[in-house]
Amino acid sequence: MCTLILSACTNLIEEDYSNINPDFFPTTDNDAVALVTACYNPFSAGGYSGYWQSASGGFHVMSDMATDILDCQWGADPWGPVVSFNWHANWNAVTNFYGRHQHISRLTMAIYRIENIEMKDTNLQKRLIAECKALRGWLAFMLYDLYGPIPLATTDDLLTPLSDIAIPRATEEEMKRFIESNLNEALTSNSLPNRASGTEYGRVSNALCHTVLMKFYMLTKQWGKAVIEGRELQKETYGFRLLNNYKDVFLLENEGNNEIIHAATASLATNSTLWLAHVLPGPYPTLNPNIQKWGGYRMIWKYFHTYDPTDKRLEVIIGEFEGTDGVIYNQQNPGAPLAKGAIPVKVGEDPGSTGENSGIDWIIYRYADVLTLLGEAIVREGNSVTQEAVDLLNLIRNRAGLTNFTLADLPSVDSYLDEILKERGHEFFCEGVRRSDLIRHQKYQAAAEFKGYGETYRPNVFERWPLPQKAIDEGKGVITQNPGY
Amino acid sequence: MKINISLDHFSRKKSDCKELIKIMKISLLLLFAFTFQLMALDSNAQDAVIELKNNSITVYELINEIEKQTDYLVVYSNREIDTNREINFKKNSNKVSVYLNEAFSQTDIGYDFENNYIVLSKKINQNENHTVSLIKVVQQQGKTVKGAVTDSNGEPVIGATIIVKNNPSQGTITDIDGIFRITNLEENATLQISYVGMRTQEINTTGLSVVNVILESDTELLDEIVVVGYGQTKKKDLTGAISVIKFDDDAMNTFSSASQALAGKAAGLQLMSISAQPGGQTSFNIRGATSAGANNDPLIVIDGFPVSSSAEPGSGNRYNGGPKDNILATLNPNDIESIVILKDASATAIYGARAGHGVILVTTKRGKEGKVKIDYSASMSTQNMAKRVETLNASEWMSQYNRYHRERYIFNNRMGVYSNEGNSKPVDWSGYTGDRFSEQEILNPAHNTDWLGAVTRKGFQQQHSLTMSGGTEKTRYLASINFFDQDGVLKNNDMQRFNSRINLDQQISEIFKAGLSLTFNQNKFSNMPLGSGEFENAGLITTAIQSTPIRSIWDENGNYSTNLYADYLPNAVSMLEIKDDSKLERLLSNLFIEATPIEGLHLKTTVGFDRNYNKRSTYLPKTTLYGQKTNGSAHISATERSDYLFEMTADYSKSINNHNFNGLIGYSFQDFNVDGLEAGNQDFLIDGFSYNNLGAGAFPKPQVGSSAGKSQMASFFGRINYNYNYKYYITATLRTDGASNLAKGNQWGYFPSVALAWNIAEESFFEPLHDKINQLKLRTSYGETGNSSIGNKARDFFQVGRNYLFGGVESKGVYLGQMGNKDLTWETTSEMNIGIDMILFNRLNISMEYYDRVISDLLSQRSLMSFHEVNSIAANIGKTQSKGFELTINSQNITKKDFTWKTDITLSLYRDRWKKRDLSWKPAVYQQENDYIRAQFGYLSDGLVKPEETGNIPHMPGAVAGQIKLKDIDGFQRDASGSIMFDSNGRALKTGKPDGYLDDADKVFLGSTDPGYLFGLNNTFIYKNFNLSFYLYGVADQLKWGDYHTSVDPVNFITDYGMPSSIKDFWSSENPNTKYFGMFQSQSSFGTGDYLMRKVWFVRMRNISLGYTIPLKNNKVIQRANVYIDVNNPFILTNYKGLDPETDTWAGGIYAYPNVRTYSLGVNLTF
Repeated sequence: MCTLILSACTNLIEEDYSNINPDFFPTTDNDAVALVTACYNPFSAGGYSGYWQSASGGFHVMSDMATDILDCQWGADPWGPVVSFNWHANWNAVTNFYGRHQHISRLTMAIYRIENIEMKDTNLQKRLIAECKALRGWLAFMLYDLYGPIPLATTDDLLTPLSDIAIPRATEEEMKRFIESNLNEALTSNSLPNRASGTEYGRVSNALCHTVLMKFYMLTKQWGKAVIEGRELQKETYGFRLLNNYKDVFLLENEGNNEIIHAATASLATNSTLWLAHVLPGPYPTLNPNIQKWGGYRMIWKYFHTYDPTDKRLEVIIGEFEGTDGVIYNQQNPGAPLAKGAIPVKVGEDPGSTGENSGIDWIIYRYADVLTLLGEAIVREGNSVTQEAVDLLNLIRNRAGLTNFTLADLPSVDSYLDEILKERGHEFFCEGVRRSDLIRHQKYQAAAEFKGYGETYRPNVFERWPLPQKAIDEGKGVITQNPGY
Repeated sequence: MKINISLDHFSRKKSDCKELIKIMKISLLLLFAFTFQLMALDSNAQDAVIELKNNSITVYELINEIEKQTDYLVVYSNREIDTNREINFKKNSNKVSVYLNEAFSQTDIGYDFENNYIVLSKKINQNENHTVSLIKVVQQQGKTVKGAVTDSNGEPVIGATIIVKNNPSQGTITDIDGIFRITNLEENATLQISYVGMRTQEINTTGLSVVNVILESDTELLDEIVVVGYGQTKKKDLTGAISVIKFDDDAMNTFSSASQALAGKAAGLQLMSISAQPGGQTSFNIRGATSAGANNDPLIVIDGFPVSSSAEPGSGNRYNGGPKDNILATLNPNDIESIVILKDASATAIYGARAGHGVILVTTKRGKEGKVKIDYSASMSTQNMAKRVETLNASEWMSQYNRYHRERYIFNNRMGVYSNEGNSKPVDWSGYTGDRFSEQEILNPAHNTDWLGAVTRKGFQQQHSLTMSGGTEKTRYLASINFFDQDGVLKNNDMQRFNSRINLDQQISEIFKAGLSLTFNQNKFSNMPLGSGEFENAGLITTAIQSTPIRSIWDENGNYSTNLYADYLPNAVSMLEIKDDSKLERLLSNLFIEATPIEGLHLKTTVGFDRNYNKRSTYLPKTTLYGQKTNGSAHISATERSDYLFEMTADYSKSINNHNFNGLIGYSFQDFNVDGLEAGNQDFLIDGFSYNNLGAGAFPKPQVGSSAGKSQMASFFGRINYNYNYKYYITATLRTDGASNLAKGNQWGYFPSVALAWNIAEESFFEPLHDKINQLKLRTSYGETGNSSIGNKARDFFQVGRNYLFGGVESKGVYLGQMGNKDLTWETTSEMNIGIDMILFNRLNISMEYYDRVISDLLSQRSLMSFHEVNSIAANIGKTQSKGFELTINSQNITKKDFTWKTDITLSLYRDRWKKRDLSWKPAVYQQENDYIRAQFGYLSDGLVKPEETGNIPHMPGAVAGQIKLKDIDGFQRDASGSIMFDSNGRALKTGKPDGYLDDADKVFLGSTDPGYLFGLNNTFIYKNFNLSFYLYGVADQLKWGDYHTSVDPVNFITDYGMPSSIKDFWSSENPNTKYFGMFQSQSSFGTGDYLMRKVWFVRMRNISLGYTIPLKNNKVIQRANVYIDVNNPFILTNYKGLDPETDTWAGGIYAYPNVRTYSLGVNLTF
């Protein structure tokens, strides 16, 4: 009897019923789809985790803070040093996006796992792999924009996690090739839709790949290639149009509109976004009173005043309002709501919001961006201002209610570039393009000076953000820091 | 008269209390066993005359009459004297001696008169009438010693045996006043005073003629018997390092949990009060916390059942109800007999697998043979906040608001002290919009709301406990119920405990006995939002402190007012309407059957069941901010934990000559099951449903969730104890444990230990010192114990989550949630312990321990290269080491009849360090191989930036006046391209010279957050019927980083936050001579360095209690009545400036639950 109990009880059982045993996963088509879905997740604007989150980890928030546009009214941590061009390798707000290079590995492993599934639908398999490559190229581009080359792990590296071998950062050429080849392989697989719509809305598309490639070519000063990508996106097969009214682009009822190339999809229940909560001040009147108002981000007054007062885009940049308390708040009577500048409201209200959450998709790339970049690329490529370039610039000026430029108004390449930089700044505030624009136009230091932080600005250093000191320590000499940090 | 009173007193006791007679008889047996020689013939006494009503009476009646009519007590043995024998006396009235002569002249019984006694016993010599003939044998010169023997309540102990230690045939017993007199003693004789149910004492009489003795009562005797793993032993036979905390019946009522009364009570046991809220958590560490990633908690064993903690479920909303005391809070403190702390590997190895961080053995009280005893105790307490956060009042707030904004204007425009030219650029006020508050407004504030006052109250606490115990020779029982109710100092923050227990022991036959311990406990909490959350997640206390005093609680419409500029902060008072009720239930039952087939052999089987059911229900009503936004949101979550225990042990003891053996073998199997369920909904029509009708919510996606898991653990163990003549001891233990959370092949760990002890005081050569040093024992042990508590980390698993929306529809993602490590194996604690136990002068009990503990194969998360899919993988990484010293002193300072004073002192220290790091360790440049486990690193500070230094400190670009200045002391070595250079070991190289940058090269080791020293002091005074005790403990030399005074950012003035008063002292252009940093410290991207770091110490007076035992002679109903007044936490001495150095911890040092001071009135009655 005793012996029986003893032998029975030396066979110990451990169960965790809440997770999936890798012995049975992934094996089916649906498993592959689920793996890819999880890879999409960080490409969202959701909560406090997505790449375009409204909080301090968001790409557009932090990169625009590090320009002449934005400031934050809250305590200085973590925004202060970013706002004031005074960051270093131990300042998490600028180093933490680097941690996302882990997601490149997740995509690599997703591709590896999907390739090892005997899928019934081989077209689906091909498409899922193409989606992973598009996402991988895109993320690599974002990381390259902020940090320069990163370590690129191979499947073999990833299958031996305990080997603990540091991988050096790729060279500039390797990095560029990686970005370009991933996006091109996604395009040439011919498995992605030209433009994601319907039940596919939210998935990557050929249009997204072209847009990212165009931005990549702008970043790497390959103007001719950028022009090709821009012209590609002008093709009717994509069907992109500018909406008539600027503010309509960002409304809930216009989700999926023709100007949107790619948006981080959101609903109140899934990957909801927090933009209005981050920008609106308490007394700001909203139709939906349940919208949370934390009153953080502000367009600094000095930048606000660079807009023409008739600019229609000021409809969604609030420099004066009557508060729910009956007080008129403006630059002269800023109170708490406007202490540091105007409110970059930008997006519409979600009537279903019950707090900080909003179900409005966060627009990542839109056609106006492509058109203005195309104008700039044409001018830079030809080193002369063309009517086409001026027309492209006028498209968004027109919509903003501003007068058209003529070729005569913009006699030199520099004058065109100055105007396009200014116009893109006004058009794309809080959309994460300003930092890259300023650097490309070599106006980054000027922006720091404009904001009053010329003294802490470090030329040739701040164009790239530092890798976290932890990454340098981890490399034990193999991973080099960006120069100057 | 005196005689009569004494007689009455004695008679009553004799007639009412059979137990006493029994004790008398036992004492007498002892007496006769030693064949006493008795002295002091009292001729007068023999001449006392008594009268008999009847000439013909029995011996028994004669004795009764003598006792009734004289002040003599007749002592005899039933075995020797036939008391039923009838005697016919010649006269009705005669001298006692005549009657005795007549009664016993024809028998072998003689009689003696001694003091107030008449002793009847067998004659040594048939021819002699008196037993006192022996006197002649030892007719020698010697001194006489007198004295009184009392119990700890000051009552005389009647019939206590006093013998001369090296001449056991010489002795006496105490009389009805507890008085004894012993003559003819050698000058340096040692007396042994003993009494059944009390601890024997030895007293050297050198130079003494009066010896007053207080015998420790029955319960104190348990001190001698110590519960150890799977058994018990005499304290003097211990070979391992063990601390015993006995529970005094009277003091426990004012603590909500036994754990609150343990700090400082046992050397080596560190308790940290995590939160001061009702039922707030106390965490335990035994001998430091050297596990890096696995659990550092000691194993808690309640009446033989190793229990697991079960966490309170989450609230399901943004708020945190605060950490609760867990395992010990599920016990009625009055049920606890003792708590034993097993510290070294020898003591803990028998619990092998789960004993890597020591074991806490809790033993509850059990019934004793005798008539039913009913104890009722009750206490009522009021509680006040011991200290409250000092906040600005309305006038102060307004002037500080103005001050901040003026300062901010200067700062924003880089003028004055904030310009790069120091003070030389004058402040141009032309652009300033003016002060928000006028002088008039400041002088006469419209509102001056004390928000903190509005959400706090006077706390109230009551506890009632009823215990019934008793039993027969075969059946013993104890049943108790306990009710505890506390209204915390935060409004609506309450706790209740209902606890009931049955402990049953049944002798089934000569061979078999069985026992049951059954306890049911329910702790109910009415939680309030607490925690270190800020902004939208701020708890009630934080919100109250951050509410502006210039705002009234209600607006003009009678609604809760809000701060429009920080409208994410609810009205603090409205938060009181939040419902957050948790119910933690535990049913712990443990049944054993024990067989003793042959003498010395015990076979025992234990079956136990521990079920925890925890439920938490929350509702945010529409009247609160976040309830309003969601139109009411309700959530219920429940977790169940069921642990099953099966154990078999066989234990055999045998003594042959001076060889004493004890052997134990056993098997233990535990099965752990957890599951959880939760549901939530929003958008309710009415608040009236609260959380009771989840289905009524209209939220499109109501929350649902569930989880479940199972694990098992099996163990085989054995232990051998051997000693030779109680001088040389050896204990050897081996345990093997299997844990299901490790991969097959690595599941089993083997944990041996051995301990040696030498009781030097028992050696013959030590004899001359024996009266000064009564005990001297050296102990040493070495052993290993294990730890596998890292959870299910051996396997990979995929997890559902990371969802995404495609076409407006949510798709579920699946991702690799964990990389498993099949090589994961037991973390092993190897520990060497050296200990000394001493008893000096019969009153000073000293124990000292030194230990050296090494934990190898540390279970932790090993960080992977950051490009990997997951950040870390569970692994065995490196070694840590803890060395420590512990001192325990128990002293009986004064033991007089009417006054006793006892003192207990504990002192301990430990140093936890890394010993060896894993190869995968990726150190920062400032880290060392052997750092303290909780080492702190940072920049060195150099005062505050002076106005003339603004913008001119090269290594701190952008630094402005008033910010903390940090030192540039070192720099990285860099190659030509500017990259940091590393040596061949992968360590970054430094130049040793300042380089103009503040980076990791400038960070240095600042200290460890472990306390340097821990100590406790307990004092008990008894004067006649009064008893006074006080108990304090403390910590010295512990790093802390600031407190609420400095954890504040003045930028929050912008959004009309309430502020602590310390803001007045912050540096500003108008207030340059201050220790507080400036208004714009948070603008610095380098932090505060060591500027706020302090070595903190504190001494907390935990409890002062004054009791009075009401004299209750002749009361037939109440046996004992004791009333007391008691103050918990009356004061704390400390150099810490925050609210409380202990309980501030959980709230991150910001706005913690205020610690309380409790005043109690209590009564203990025994029926």
